[in-house]
Amino acid sequence: MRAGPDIRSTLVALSDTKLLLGYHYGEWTFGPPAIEAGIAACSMAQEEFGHARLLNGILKREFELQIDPLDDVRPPEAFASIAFLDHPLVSWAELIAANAVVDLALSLVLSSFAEGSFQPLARVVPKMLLEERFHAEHAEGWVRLVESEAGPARNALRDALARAVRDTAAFFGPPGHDAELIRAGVRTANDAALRERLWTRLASLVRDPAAVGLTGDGDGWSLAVDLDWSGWDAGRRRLSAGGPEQEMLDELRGTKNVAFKSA
Amino acid sequence: MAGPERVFEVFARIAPGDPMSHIGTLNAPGIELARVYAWRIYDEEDWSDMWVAPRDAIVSAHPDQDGPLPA
Repeated sequence: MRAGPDIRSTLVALSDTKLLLGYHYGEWTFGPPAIEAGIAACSMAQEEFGHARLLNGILKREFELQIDPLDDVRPPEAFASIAFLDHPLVSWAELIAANAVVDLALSLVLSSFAEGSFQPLARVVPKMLLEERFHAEHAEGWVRLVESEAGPARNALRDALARAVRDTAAFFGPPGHDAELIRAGVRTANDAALRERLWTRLASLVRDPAAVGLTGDGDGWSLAVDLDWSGWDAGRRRLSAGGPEQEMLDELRGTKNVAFKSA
Repeated sequence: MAGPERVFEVFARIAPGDPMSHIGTLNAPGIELARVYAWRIYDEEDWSDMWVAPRDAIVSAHPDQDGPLPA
């Protein structure tokens, strides 16, 4: 299939981003504003790790690409993950921004495979999206709550959302980059349309979409600044160089506990 | 930011037609997050139904009792 390399790179990007998203959710098992929020974060972490494992299984079976998070030796700059997750999410505002923007972006991309012709993924997407429904409800609940009152919490959330929006816009890529997958029937919606759906959803949650970097565009919303796609890395779906902090990858890989791996 | 957290009571049943059981409580800033938290916290059974209600919305039907549901 001519679309094979594009499917493969999309799967890697989804898997890498879900792995890091799971890491950040897991980090917030402790320290959120309420015990209930910590349980929710822990639960979301488990599901993201499960989804990454599922996607890695498809990569292995269909593309003979082995990604085992514990044995992964790729350097940070080889990761195909959304840049917003490159560093520890140090505030609850950043965690909510990742939940509301990054997580939803992944679900939208996955949803475009549900009715597509690539059956190994189409078969498992409905179950993944069922679990992701809770992630979206969690994000929407928190964004609406924090947006309901002016103050430092709302300012922090808007700042985090604006950064997440900018980094996630790059993940969707330049217009038309996914034309082959659409033409081949592998996906039923292109990234440009999905990106606009994400902005529309986010704009419906916040009181001032301009404060998170969005601007009205006809009936929909678009990024307030134009992105220069000349430096876009199609393999990593990123505009920015760099990658996840090595210390985070070491934690994910259990680097400090390598002596116990064969035990 | 979010105002005081409220207490929510959680009710569930395993099969349609079973009596509804009170299975626990949780704290949440509003009903939207209470729904999300309830489903995640009380996931020990394969529930067919689950409801949450703010504790202060539940009133006594006993003729000798009045006021909110005691903790």
